[in-house]
Amino acid sequence: MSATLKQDGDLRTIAAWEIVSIVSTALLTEWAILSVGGGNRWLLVFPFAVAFAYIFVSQRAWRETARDLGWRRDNFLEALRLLALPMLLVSVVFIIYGYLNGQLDFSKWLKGRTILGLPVFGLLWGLVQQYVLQGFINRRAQVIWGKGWRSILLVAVLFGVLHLPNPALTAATFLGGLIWAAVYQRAPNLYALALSHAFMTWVLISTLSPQTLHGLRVGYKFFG
Amino acid sequence: MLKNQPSPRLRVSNVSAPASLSQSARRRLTHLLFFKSILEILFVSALAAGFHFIAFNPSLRGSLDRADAREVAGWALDEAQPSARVEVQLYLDGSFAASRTADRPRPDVLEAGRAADARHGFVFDTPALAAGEHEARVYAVHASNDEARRTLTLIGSPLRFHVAARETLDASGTNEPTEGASRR
Repeated sequence: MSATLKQDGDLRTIAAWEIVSIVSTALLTEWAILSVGGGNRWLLVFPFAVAFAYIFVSQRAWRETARDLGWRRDNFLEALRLLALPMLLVSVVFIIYGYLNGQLDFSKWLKGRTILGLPVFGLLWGLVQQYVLQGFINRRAQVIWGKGWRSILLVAVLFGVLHLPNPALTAATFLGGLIWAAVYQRAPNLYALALSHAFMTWVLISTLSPQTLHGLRVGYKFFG
Repeated sequence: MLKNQPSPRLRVSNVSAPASLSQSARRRLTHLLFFKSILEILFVSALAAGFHFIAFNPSLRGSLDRADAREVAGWALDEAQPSARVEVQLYLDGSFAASRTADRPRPDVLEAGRAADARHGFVFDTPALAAGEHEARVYAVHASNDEARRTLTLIGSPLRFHVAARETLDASGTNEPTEGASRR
């Protein structure tokens, strides 16, 4: 009995350490590497490569399949169904806010981008973020606390922290993190989450002023 | 015999997805986490050292010799390029006041063998200041990253000086010139 508890404790310790390690890599990149790198984007290759290499190795060690992680199509509609209501509610709130503040413009994302710019970039970047956030952090949080509000809250808090010190983005990503983490625990599907991520980014850009969003800058770049 | 035995697997029961880790995998992940941390520390340390080397010029030298209600003067040079002119910036009470090139004649700097020529001095006209205590600091400017980044190196030590009420009136042109300000 006590041996089992110790083994469970060992797993939880490793899972917690893995979360801390990946989050600290992201924070190190946002706050230290970008600040001393003078805008040299090639410097980002190293932390990204190290973090993703670790994630791949870890997922193999935990014997997680692509299907476990959410690279699947069978529950795509179920995940979309779960996402629909919270996304609708949040979108309506943002649209009303944007309308009242004279910021409502659904073509705002086109400025300075090609017609495919935001959809492609938004979907790919959303997919990468959701893969790390849900496919790694959420799953490790479940190792620590199982399914439920504690692991969902942890994912949302960490997602918000990664968008500091941008107040609007921190609040928005915390809220989004809550919704996405909860949906992922019920229907793990990364494609649906990426779609939702891109859609909510579009809503955010279309309803809030660039000053409020601070150019979507986070970390050290927020001050630049 | 031992090699053929499956390694014991650890399992957390209340996880939605199968969460299990063999003993060897657990050891490997622990080692990898250590290795990843060390790798990142080394990378950031190297980056910080490189940044310091590029962004700051360790061969900037100079002195802030005088600061009063009329002028702030001294000299500055780059020992690695003794014939180059250095840009200097004056800060009064922590706020930017003026910028110029240190190219005024300073024979004493040449005589001391610190430069290739004498034109390394600077003199700023002190702007109108309120009566009371003030602090002057002069920084040498070093540009890097194609002029995108500019860092400041303090020249000499900050100097504090006192501006009398009469000098404040002088500066606004409403009074006759008076004797210089006191320097501390």
